[in-house]
Amino acid sequence: MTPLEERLRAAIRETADEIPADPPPLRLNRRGRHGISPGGRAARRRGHAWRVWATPLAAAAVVFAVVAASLALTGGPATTGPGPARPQTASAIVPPYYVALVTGHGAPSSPGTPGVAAQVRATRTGAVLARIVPPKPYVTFTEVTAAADDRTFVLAAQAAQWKSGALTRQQVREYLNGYAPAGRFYLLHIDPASSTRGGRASLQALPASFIPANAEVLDMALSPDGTRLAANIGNTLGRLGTPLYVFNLATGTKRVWSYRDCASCAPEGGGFYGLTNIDPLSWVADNRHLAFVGPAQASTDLGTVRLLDTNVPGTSLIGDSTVVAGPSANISPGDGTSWRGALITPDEQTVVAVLELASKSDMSIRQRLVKISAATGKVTATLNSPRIGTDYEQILYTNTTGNVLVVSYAHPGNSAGILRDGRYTPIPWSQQTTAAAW
Amino acid sequence: MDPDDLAGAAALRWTDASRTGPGRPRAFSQAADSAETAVEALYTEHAVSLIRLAYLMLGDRPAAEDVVQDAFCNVFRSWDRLADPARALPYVRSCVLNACRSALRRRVVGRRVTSAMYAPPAISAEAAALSQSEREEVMQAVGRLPGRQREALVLRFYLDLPDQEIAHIMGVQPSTVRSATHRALKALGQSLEKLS
Repeated sequence: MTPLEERLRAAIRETADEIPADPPPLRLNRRGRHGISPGGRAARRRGHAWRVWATPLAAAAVVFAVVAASLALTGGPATTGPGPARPQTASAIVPPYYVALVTGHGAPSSPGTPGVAAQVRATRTGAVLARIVPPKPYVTFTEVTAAADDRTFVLAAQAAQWKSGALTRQQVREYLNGYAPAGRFYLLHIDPASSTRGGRASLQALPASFIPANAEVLDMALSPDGTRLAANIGNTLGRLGTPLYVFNLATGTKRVWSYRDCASCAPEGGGFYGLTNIDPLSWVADNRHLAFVGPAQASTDLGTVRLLDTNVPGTSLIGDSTVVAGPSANISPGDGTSWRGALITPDEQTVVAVLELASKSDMSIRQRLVKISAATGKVTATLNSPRIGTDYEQILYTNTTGNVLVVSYAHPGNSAGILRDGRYTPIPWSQQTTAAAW
Repeated sequence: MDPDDLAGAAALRWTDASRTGPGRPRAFSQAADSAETAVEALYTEHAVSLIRLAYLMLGDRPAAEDVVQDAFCNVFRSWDRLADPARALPYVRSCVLNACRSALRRRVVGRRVTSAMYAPPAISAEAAALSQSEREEVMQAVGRLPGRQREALVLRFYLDLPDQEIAHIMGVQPSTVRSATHRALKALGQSLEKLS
């Protein structure tokens, strides 16, 4: 082969690779097979977009109002964080697309900052495939969570820039008195293969009644099949005892569990740390069992990771759940231990969590990313231990077994990467990212 | 080596099943089921490479997807009439190329009215991270080639097909493929030389 032919082959193949390996579904018309035209292209495209995201939620169509979302497709790559720009193999082991919440004005984000928009991004390149801004009257997205199909997401929107950390005295007063701006969940379906302008992202409002007045979404998690949404929803007055809701997106019904057996108990996460996607909620693969972080006892800093069977009748978060990981010498070796983000892996075997360890000797705080056996409650591996002052670590994604994680670091300058069997590979990351879900 | 060979063989196993049982009403339905299954299997295995093939020809992803959808609808409609179901994949490729030619002809007509130019595949944002200006130059040069020459190059350098297979898909003689390829490479070389 001549150099020209080699050059040509490389160019052709690289160009061909621009087409992703997930083609749109084939739509055959059986009647068309016997002479009736299978319909126009436009109709087919509309049908495709509708069918993909609406099928599992068809029953909900009667209760959900489709809203006119402001979708703006962009073509530029996302700003990349420090480190190598293109991991070659690690990115292939996590879902190819994710949805990120981003701050505005190019300002680097910090944990707890709401996003002024959501972006659909390619994991491997960081390219922004679609940008979604909150439908009016909402102005920010505060949370994002993903189903396992890499296509279905839920966003929580809020009607005021509330969690910005730049509150007026009046706002602080109102907040402490239990006020929270109106909020609403939105179901987001992405179709990265779509070429139509609005086809890459569809936003659908979930019932407004899901989020009570004067309450905000503290954390949430969508079940792997995308049919159930779990959320901690409350306000400052109700933070001690914030109830856990599970919404059935197919029927529009909900169930509520509370800390009624433990008035002083509160879920970990939420509050100071968990304003954005700290992930104390996580589902196992059966779409039935939900893990959450609750306290072992009121005086304990470190809570317990508990498992709730959402199919079993009951309303008590403590009484109806079982402990899968909790305080022990193995997990909390000293005073001042707490954790944020404790995800149970979909195979229900492992809890991955970030522990915060306060040192009495030098008053420093270290964080430790650990794996805990759900069977024994013991730490089985410490994956890393960065300084909290420089790298605020969050777990954004775990695969079925927990051997592949996506973690992010907030300081200095946001970055994120794939942690696979102890090896860290950076991925392209925007410094404006405040939360992300795969 | 054609990356689709093994998958093609898998898809074709369905073909035999789809051709059994005519004569009874239920058998007709079963045949339709089998045809649908076979075509869907074919699509599952080959859609990506076919869409990419059409994309290389058209430079337009939605058009490429439409072309491939149409090709498979055609195959589905004529499944029972395929003389050799083992040649289903080349047949689909031919359909895709024919549809690409039609689409390009429509564009030429449109160009007379709108002055729109043929657009070689755009370098997407996602691919930009991987792209080089050289690649862009090469693809633009490919886009300026006559249709037949472009087809010959894409079938050879993307699918790695032999001349005989390319000729079958293009509906020409192998000697025509060889001459088209030769001319295309010569024109491409000159075009790129000018740029450098």
